Amino acid sequence: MGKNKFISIKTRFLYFSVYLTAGLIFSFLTTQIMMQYFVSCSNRILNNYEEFSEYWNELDELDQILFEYAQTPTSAGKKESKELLISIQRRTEILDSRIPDPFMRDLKIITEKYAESCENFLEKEQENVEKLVTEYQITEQYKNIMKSLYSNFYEALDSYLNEQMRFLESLRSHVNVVVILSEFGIVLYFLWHVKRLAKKITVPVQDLTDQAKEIIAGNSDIEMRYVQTVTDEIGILNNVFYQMVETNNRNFEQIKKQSDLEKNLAQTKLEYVNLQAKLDRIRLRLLQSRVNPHFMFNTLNIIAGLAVEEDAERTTKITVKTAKYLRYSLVSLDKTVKLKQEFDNIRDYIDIQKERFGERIRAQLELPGECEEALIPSMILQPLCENSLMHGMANLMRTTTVSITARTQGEKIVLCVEDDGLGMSQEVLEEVKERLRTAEDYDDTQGIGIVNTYQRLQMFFEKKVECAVESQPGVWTAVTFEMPFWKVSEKKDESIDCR
Amino acid sequence: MRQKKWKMMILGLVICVLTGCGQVQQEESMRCITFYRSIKGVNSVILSVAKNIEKQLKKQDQIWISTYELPDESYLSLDYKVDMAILLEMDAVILNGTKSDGDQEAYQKLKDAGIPFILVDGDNEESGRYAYIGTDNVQAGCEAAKAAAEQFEKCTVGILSAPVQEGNRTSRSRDQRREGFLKESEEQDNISVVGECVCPNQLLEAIPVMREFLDEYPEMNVLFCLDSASGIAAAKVIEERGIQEEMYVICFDLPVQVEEEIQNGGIDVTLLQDTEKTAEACIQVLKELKEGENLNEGQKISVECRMITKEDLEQPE
Repeated sequence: MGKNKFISIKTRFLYFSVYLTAGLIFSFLTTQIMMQYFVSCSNRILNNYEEFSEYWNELDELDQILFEYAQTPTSAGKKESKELLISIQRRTEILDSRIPDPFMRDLKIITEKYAESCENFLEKEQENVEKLVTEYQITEQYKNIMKSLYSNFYEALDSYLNEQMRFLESLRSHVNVVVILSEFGIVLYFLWHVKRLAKKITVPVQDLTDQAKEIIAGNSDIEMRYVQTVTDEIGILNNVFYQMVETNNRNFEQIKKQSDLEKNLAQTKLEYVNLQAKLDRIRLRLLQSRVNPHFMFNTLNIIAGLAVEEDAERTTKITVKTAKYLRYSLVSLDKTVKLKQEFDNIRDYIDIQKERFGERIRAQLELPGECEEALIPSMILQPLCENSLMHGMANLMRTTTVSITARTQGEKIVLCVEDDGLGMSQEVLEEVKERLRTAEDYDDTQGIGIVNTYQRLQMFFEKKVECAVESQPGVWTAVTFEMPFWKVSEKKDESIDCR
Repeated sequence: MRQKKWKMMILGLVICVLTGCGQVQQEESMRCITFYRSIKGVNSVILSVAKNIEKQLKKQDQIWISTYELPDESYLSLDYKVDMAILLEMDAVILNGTKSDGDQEAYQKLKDAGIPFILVDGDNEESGRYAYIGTDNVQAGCEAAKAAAEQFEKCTVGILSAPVQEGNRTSRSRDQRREGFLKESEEQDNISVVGECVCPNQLLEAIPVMREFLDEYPEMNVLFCLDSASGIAAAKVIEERGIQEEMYVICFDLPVQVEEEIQNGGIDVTLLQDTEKTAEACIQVLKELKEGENLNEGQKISVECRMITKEDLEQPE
């Protein structure tokens, strides 16, 4: 829990400053205390030497005063002696308390005994010089013993203090190492802490900066990390930035989708407009072609009546066929018909054309029974047949055969119009093929019949029609359409003229 | 809660330290005194014992030992030492056992002052000492005989000694060493003592005497010297004749000259008091006195002697 606690950057810097200050103070104080300790120990050792030296000086001085006092007792001498006695006793007490050594205790005890004898001597009656001298001699004996042991005391003191000095030196060297190591440790700790702090702050900021640069550069695929447990302001900043990028990405996606939709709509609208224009043109053509059909039918009926009255059998026949053909072409145009109806109509058309060209044309129509019910737009075969008659045989003096066949091929039906007329030159053939390739974008209301027929079939069969034009100049021409085999049940929505 | 625990622990630690310090300060140390004199070339046994005591004492023993070096005249006076001990209000004294005239009075003075004393490196049973700690010289003699018996198939031994005043401590020690050697010789089949010789204390005088002794008994291959002085004289003559390999020389104590002769091969082995063990025994006795319980006044503690050879000197502890 504590590890994920939110700590602001300001607080982090504050903590760091506090740690740094505390570490420096600790280091400074430790060094100072150590130095003070060693100085005080060294002083104490020197002071012990001084105490010892002063002790023996004062002992000599006291002996001198006592000797003089034994000769000439004076109150000043007595006072001075007592002061010195107090002083030497104090010094041995100090040495004994400071140095735990048997010799210092011995010195203290022997000094006490000496002081006692001196006190006795000083308390003696001053008039009795003999007694004083005797007492002085006793103190002298003590003093001599002490003097004889001086080297022992000094060696003991020197040995102890030297040992203390050595110990102090060794301790100081060890402490120095420890202080240096601890200071080094503190420096390392702070370096580590600074690095950690810098990493904690600069790395996320650097990450954010890099991500911002990527976004500015237009890279929307950057992967941002959402910080679950926010521990400082950088985390908050990161998450705000993350949310901002997420929102931007979502908006961008929406805009893109909207743009695609608008583009599609515009395309559809354009297509619609084009189709509408095409349709309008076709309607116009149709209207142009429907030049008063009733007048035409009535006229043809009058002609047929006159032909009957005049016994003009051929005229009667051709007039009736023409009327039938015109009715089909005018009434069924723009409607869906069965292939059988289309074949009947083309048969009428060829009969009419035979009256014009006589025996120069021969027609072969082949419609298998299974193809009769196939649905196609009306007036599909007529333009093709007209092409064969008009262009295929117009200038030929020989008999030309026009063959119109239908056959099934799997799920499809194949219609083929062939003639053995003039054929097409290579240039014309290429032009026709090129116009077939671009037929979808080409308005061919006034163009070639094949292309026109192809466009109509494509519109009817929803662009599932394939067309092939083959020709050999002077020998033959064949136009083939392959389209889906639709029957009435599959094309219910279309009106079918089943007359 | 955690901080409170820490505070309690620190407080407890401080109390323990303070209590411990108080207890240490309350207990008084037992003060003991001993004396030695410095003679050039001679290793003082009592000084060695005192140093070992200082070395072996631990802080918790609470025993202090003051080792005073005295000039010759003071050292030789037992009275002076006793007065010093009384003057310094000592709790115990470690002394060299002596049996000179007037010594008894000095011992009595100590007893009157209520200061128990321990004798080392020389006993005086009549002194009223609390304990004697020293080498068993008879045992040392036995050890010497055993060492000699291991050297040769047949040991022909000559016994050497320097002249001493009859009846004093040194004389008694030599007699005991000789007694022990002879006793062990009887046990060992291959030892026969063929002659004895008293060498003068002065080396220059002792050497001709040694030559004569060796000439007189040419079959001798072991020299058992009851003291260091006769040992040094024997070593000099053996080195002079180059017969170190043929002769096995045993002596006592380890002054500097004996050490040199061992290094030169003139002396093969020397027997000396084990001062470490003596110090150990002294500490035991001092502890006994300090505690004041199960006191065993007049006890005699024997310490085995150490045999020092050239190898021991080359590999000091």
